[in-house]
Amino acid sequence: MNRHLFAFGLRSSRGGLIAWCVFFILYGILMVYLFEPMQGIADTIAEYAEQFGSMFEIFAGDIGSILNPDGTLSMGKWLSLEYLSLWPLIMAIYAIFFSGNIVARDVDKGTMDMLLSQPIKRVHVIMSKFAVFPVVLIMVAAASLFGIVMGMGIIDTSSDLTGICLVFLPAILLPMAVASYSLLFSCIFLDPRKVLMAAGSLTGLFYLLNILARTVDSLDWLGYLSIFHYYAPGEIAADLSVNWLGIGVYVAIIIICTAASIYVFQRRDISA
Amino acid sequence: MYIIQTAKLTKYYGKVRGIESLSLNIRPGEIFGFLGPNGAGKTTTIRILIDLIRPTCGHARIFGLDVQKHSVEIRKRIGNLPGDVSLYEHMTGDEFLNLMSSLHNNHSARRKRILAKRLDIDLSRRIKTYSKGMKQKVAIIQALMNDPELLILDEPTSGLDPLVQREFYNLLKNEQDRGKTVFFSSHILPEVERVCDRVGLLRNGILINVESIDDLKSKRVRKLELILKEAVAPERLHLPGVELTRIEGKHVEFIVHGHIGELIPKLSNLPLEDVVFPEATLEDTFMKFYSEEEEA
Repeated sequence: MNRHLFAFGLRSSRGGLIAWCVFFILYGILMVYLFEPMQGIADTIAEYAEQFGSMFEIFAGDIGSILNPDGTLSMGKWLSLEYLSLWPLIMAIYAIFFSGNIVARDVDKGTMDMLLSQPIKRVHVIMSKFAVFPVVLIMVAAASLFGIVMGMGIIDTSSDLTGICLVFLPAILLPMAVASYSLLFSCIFLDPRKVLMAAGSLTGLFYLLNILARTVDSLDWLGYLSIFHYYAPGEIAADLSVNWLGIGVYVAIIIICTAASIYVFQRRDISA
Repeated sequence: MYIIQTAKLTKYYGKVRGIESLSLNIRPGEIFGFLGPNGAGKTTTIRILIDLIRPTCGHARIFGLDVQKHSVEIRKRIGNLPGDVSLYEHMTGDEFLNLMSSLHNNHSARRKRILAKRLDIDLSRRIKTYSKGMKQKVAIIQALMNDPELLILDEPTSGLDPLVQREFYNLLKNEQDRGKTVFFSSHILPEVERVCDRVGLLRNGILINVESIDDLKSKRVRKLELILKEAVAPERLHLPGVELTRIEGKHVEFIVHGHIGELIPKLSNLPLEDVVFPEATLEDTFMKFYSEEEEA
């Protein structure tokens, strides 16, 4: 990895980074603020969840699983389900744009010619630029946690954040997996529009497969083909345990797609 | 040892020919012009040398090193100016050049400042505010600032005004005086004649000939246009060492084969209004080489 190129990538991403940090801090505060009103209507929500079953779960998350045995709602479980179910989805969409552009945009604009005229290996170009994304994710995650803590301070409450911290592990790895296959598309197509279409379609397909698997009993096996299947924030918050199979799937996707990206980029002609 | 050496270098884009069986030897310390019309294969050759694209067959060496296996080592010692200059628009010229020199582990700004002064460019401005010519200047500084042993330049004067072009030619001569080698592509014949020691003529992906500039000049097609005060009989236009190509009333065109000195006194016998020596086009030069090949 080349530290100068990494620093350049980080500087170029600072606008997006600041915007996401501010967004998730404010969203965190809002979700914490909504906790008390939601706690008051937990019974009603549980009734709806039971009545509408899996359809309700798709749009509102598995509310039933995060209610305490006495029917009350805990802050940790509430945030894990309602805040951290959206978090990786938003960051996955960002991953498509960020990572899909790493190679394709430079080739499309012609700046890759200038970069590869310098004494730097292709593998270092791709890794230095890609390494920025996990840093961005970790910083946004830290800002999100800060927003939650800030929100708790505002409504003067406290909660054990162990469950939330555990959920952040797969929440970071899921967009990383999306970023890694977006990078692979970027190296294959070298055209930003084609990359966005391919990575966006695949991510959409994964999301659709997960919904199908959850709504149609006979198709539940389809869920295993979706990266979203392995992300269950409600379960992690309820059990306080990490789904290691999911972590393994994400890590495998990241390693395989990144290695394939390097392989493709090393061997191909650079021509817009 | 040659600085650049290619042997039967061939590149096809699918079925489309980029270059075919191109063999070149560039000597140390020379300025070599790579001359050809658009689409001749100049950029393809340069992109193979920089290892941006891979040849279909054949091989290329720079400093005796294979351009694919030792691309990073080679690029430490060369300065490259790509054909279509694209820079990071959100950066200032200075920031961009600092990024590029940091990739060379060169943190000295002295040469960059000298070059910026010679090319008269303000590097503190954002690149998005630069004109095409200014971006070209930044790219030229980028190619030269790390004091490379070899300069590979793809149509370097594109977008530069005549004054800056002249300064750029001086820069190239200065580099040559310091023992550096320059390989540059162009489709402008006078430019190549002005700065190069030797020239390679490329057309449709095939290297037609490699000539010294003196030889190229001696073989150059020279045109002559006469504008007469009144039309004259065609037999009066049979002059020594010229070939009459067109008569249109008072406008007459010739191709000059012999020495111009013998011709001038004869012209004084004609009712001349004006005499014009138009610059030979690249096409004229190529036609000359083609006709020689056919004759051979």
